[in-house]
Amino acid sequence: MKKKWAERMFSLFLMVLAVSAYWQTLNLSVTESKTGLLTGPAFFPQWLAILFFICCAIIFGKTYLQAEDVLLAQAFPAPRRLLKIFVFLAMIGLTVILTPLIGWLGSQFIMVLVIEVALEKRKWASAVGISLTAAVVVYAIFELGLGVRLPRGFLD
Amino acid sequence: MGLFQSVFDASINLLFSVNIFYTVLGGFIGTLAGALPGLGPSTSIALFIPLTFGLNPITGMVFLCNIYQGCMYGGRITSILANIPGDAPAIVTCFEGYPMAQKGRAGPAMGISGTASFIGGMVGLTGLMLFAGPVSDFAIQFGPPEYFGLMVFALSCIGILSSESPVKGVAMGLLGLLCGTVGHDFVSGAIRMTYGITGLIDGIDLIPLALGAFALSEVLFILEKGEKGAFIKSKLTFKNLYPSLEDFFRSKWPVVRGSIIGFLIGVLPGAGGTTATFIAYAVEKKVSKSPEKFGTGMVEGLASPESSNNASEGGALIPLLTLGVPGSGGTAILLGGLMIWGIRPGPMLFQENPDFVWYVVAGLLLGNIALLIMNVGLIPLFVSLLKVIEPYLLSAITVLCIAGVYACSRNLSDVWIMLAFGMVGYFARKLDYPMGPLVLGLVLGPRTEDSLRQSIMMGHGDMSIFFHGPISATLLIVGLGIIFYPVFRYAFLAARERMKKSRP
Repeated sequence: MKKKWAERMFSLFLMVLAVSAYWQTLNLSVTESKTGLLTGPAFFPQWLAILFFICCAIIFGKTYLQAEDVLLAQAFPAPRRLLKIFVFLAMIGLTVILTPLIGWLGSQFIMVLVIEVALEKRKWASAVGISLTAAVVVYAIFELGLGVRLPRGFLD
Repeated sequence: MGLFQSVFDASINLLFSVNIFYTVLGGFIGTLAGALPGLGPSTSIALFIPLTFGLNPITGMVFLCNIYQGCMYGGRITSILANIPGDAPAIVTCFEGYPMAQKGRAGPAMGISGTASFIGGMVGLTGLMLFAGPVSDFAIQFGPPEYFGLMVFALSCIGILSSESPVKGVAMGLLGLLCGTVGHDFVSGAIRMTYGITGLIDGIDLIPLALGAFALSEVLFILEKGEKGAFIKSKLTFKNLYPSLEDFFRSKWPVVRGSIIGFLIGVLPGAGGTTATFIAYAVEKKVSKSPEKFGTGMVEGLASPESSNNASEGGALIPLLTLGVPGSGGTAILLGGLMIWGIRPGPMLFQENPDFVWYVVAGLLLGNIALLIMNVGLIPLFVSLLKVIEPYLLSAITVLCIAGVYACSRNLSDVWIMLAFGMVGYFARKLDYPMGPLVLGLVLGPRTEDSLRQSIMMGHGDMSIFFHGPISATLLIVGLGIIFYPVFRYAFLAARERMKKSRP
């Protein structure tokens, strides 16, 4: 994807975010009921959403004014590399889903194993070693060192 | 003398307690993190905040501040050895440091830059000691309108200065402020901006946002590039490490100039180390008798930016500690850490808890000495360690991010928030949106809204209250002027162009 289009799509996404933020404030009051002053819960976020929208609209508009050669630089990597990013994000999502079921140690072990084998192209034996070490070391630091009780899954 | 006595006493207490361990450890971690391309102070502090929960606030703050300080030192290692800056302020180090390394003078470049960093750091900390008290005494007069003006000023400064496109910086600052309004409104009790998601009722915490925007997005960049293990090529031994007397003599005045520039720029919100290093380099080139040699390995062009980078750190701590207004993404995350420990920086901190401030300053002073020893004497060790760590960076950051976010709230829904900000951060950084204003907006958001509300109540709804006092009026006018300056400039230039064309 070219940078100009990426810029437009991202600023459009931010504009949608601004509109949705404004919409979220519509069921709240701008003024405070007792005093009638502009100190209600909607006042500040409403103004922020408007200003945010204006900024994003300027960014969107600027893509039409800037020189082509600056904007036509490649913004994103080849699809294969993007796939790696997608796999990585999906792994984190899967880890969050798996953690309450199989516990912290198990989910972290699986996540690091997949990252090391699929993304880092490491051999199975060393990937297992790294995954086990990462999961156990972080577990020890947080659970034993800092007293944070990490999820144990079905053992809870 | 009371001030120096307080810092001296605090230094002695730190020296003979467990805090010295955390001081050195923070500096060591910071140096390594600063040297790893992409891992700047913001990412490193965000990664390590969850690990400080078990510590007392002084130890935790000393540890985090020394990570911050260590990053300032570490960034130069890969700049000199491989022409790859560890963090943004180290870009300028490449200009002269790498040519020196190419000429076989990597060791002296390391020695000079380490010493210049140390002197700059000391100048910054001395400035912090001297000016923090008076600034906090002045800030005691601030009421809600002044604070609102200050917030607008800080956000506009960081928005404008942190990016090449000012409007992108301002947009990120506004997005951060909007994120700060998510969840419970503590005045009315209303639940706002949650989109019906229960995980957002308690609001968006700093740690998931910062780890997502900085650390996770960095992991995505590492994945995208797919390059590892290639950044340290030069050989460095203890023997060829030390600069000559001539090198020291040539760098004497550049270090002085760089330190002063760095400190003054560091005080400005948003300017930070990157701006300081570029200005210091430009000034050095301007005053040099042989500016044409810059870019070929001039010691002056290396020493001045290095000292300005470290001096800016002391300057940046002044608005953070005295006004509660951070000047950069890194100090915004430090502010978040302070709030997690229940410490609210601002003028009252100097009245109610002065020891805390002097312990932090003492920790930084001791840390600076430890960092000089580490960064001049132990460079070969750092290079070896970097080679070992780098291949495992991806998994290490990911696991630490998830554990850190979970440890903050004991809630897995925050990991989803981190994931969302990781994706937004990746795309935003790709398109040159700065992340610093986003974090700053989130941290300052609740306080900005409180100040606005209190001011409106004080003025009984009259908005002119912001212009009654000289301080709030000046801050607001300057802040808004900074934001609208590009618009006015564009309109002025367009009008002038039209006039030129219309003339026969």
